[in-house]
Amino acid sequence: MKTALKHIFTATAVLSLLAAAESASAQDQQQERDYGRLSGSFETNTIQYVPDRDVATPTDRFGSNNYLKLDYSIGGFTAGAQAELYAPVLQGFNPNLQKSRITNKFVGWSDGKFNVTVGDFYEQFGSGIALRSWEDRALGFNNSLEGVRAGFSNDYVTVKGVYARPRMFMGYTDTWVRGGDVSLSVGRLLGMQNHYLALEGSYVNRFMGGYAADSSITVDPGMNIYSGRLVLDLDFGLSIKGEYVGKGDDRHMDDGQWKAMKGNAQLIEIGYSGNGLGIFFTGRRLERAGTKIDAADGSEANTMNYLPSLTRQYTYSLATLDPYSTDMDDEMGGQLDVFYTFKRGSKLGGKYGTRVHANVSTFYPLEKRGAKMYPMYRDVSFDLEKQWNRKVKTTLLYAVQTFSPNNGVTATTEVHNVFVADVLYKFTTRNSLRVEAQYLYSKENTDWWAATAEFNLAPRWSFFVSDMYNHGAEKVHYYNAGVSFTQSRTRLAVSYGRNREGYVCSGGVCRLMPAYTGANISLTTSF
Amino acid sequence: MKKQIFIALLALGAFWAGGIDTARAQSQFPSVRIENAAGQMINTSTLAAKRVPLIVSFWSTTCKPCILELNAMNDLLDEWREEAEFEVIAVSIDDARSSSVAKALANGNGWDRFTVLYDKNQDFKRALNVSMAPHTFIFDANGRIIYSHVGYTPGTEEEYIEKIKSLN
Repeated sequence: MKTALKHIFTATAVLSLLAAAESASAQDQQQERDYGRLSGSFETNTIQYVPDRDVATPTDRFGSNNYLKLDYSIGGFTAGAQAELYAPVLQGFNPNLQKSRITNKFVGWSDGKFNVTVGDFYEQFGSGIALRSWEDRALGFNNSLEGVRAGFSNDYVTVKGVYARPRMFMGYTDTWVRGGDVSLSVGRLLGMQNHYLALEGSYVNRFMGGYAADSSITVDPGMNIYSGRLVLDLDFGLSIKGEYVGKGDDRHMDDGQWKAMKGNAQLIEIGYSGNGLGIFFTGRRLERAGTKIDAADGSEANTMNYLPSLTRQYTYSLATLDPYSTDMDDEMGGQLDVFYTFKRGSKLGGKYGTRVHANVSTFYPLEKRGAKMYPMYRDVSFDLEKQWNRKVKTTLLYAVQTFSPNNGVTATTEVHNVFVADVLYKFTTRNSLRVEAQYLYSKENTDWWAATAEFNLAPRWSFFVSDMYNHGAEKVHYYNAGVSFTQSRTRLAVSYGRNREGYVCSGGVCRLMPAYTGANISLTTSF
Repeated sequence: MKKQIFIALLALGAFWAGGIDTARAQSQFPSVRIENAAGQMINTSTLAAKRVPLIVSFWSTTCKPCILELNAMNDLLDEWREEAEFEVIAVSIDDARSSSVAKALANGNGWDRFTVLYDKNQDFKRALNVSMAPHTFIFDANGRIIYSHVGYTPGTEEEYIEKIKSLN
């Protein structure tokens, strides 16, 4: 049966290509028949590593991650496949990502109300605490589900069900996931016109085949997860979402011993927006809320749900030196974002308006770990963006990040004060120079500075040079220079430089990327 | 086994060759369901019904160049509007988890002159084969794609207004 499926997928792929060729010639003949549509994308990220006595040199001198995705659709029918090639995998990514394979393939059908997918798909129940499958290429992460998904949706109700096994690296695990999700638009049923109210719920069962072979602890291999949610959107700009997730007995390490323990999680989101003001608050509590796919694997790829660190995602290098990573077992906290625009023509707004944004996030353990309750992480930041005239735009950012080196056991903290000034100057409407200056001041550690200059010839060319330097211990220049070229839907970027060791995170999944010096080529295209 | 494959191939072939004999509509503007700023589901085809050129930009809360691009367009919108008639549609591709942040961000950035849509299930994104953000399309008044661009460097917005002006 499996091989039959495989052949059907191959046949579909061949047909899709034929259809595309036909469709191209059909356009010449101005035929009226619909041959459907073939689309796709290709991405490569390739690095030539170079020996460098100031940073550790990777063992392989070359790495290349490649992805080709093809999709074909006609009417309500879709089919697609993704091929991945690691030749070999880039340094720092999991070495189990190797060689090449058609990793994902699917066929699907939908008529607007009913839908069914067979093959590999991505799915999320609620906020993803109960179940989420997703792909993050920067992390080498993909836990897509292979199996069957069916759903129904109308104005009042959305129902979906899945029966599938999660992907891990280049293959699948011995774990099966069964689940269902319902969303009921109670507000519409009650005839509410201007407000939106929905009640939602999910059920997930994870059957872990690997458990049977594990004699160290007796846990039911079939573990249940359930989630209940409330979604409320009021017409004056207020929205509230709440979710409760409960987990059955799962294998958990406690005081150095494997035990069968239950878990739970709560999430609340409150947002208000209107009149140039946007406020958003998220609060979350996690107690043994991480769900693994496989019993044995100890890597970051072994993740079945989505627990991102609820902190600000910066784009400036010194503000991301030490990102916070979620403690899935024992954490409570949240973050608040406030966006405001001083209107055009007002005193503080000027001709173009002035944008301000503040963010606060903080996380604590569920119970005190030392003499008192101490935070594990806190970040307070403020930024201001102002267009002065048609030529000049500035952005200023100040962030104070407070870390606990022992995760809240004592009151000891390390503080990073990050200052950023970002100035964009337009010589002409298309030629511009952007200069970014950053400084990190820390009492506990030595200071850093960083600078970037970027020259843009829009819309095609962009050139940059950057450097990052630590005054004290390291005394190493992390320099980089590069160029990118964009033509319609294709982007080619080439850079050379020295890169610092650091964490890359997504959805609570983090990976330590090693330091390296080398040349990087990245190409993305879609059609 | 081979027989099964053959049958499957035949079935697919027949399905495909038989095709659906609908005339290829002139408009390339997709028709999918999407959430508007008021939380109501609308059909994207209603956007093209106004018969003015459209700039459609796909963005997300974690995509810095996307936000830079939309802010740049927002800053210049008054001046552009004096030169041509068009609408800007900003499509958030954030999933259900961060679509509320997207609303706060859109309002807080003062994008009240854009039509902001929330493509939580990514149907619109898939219909236009968008694989990375920002991805910006320009449609003429008849719903045909006349330009598309991936990524953003400051000044790219000037290319958009020139394309729009070339339509008038």
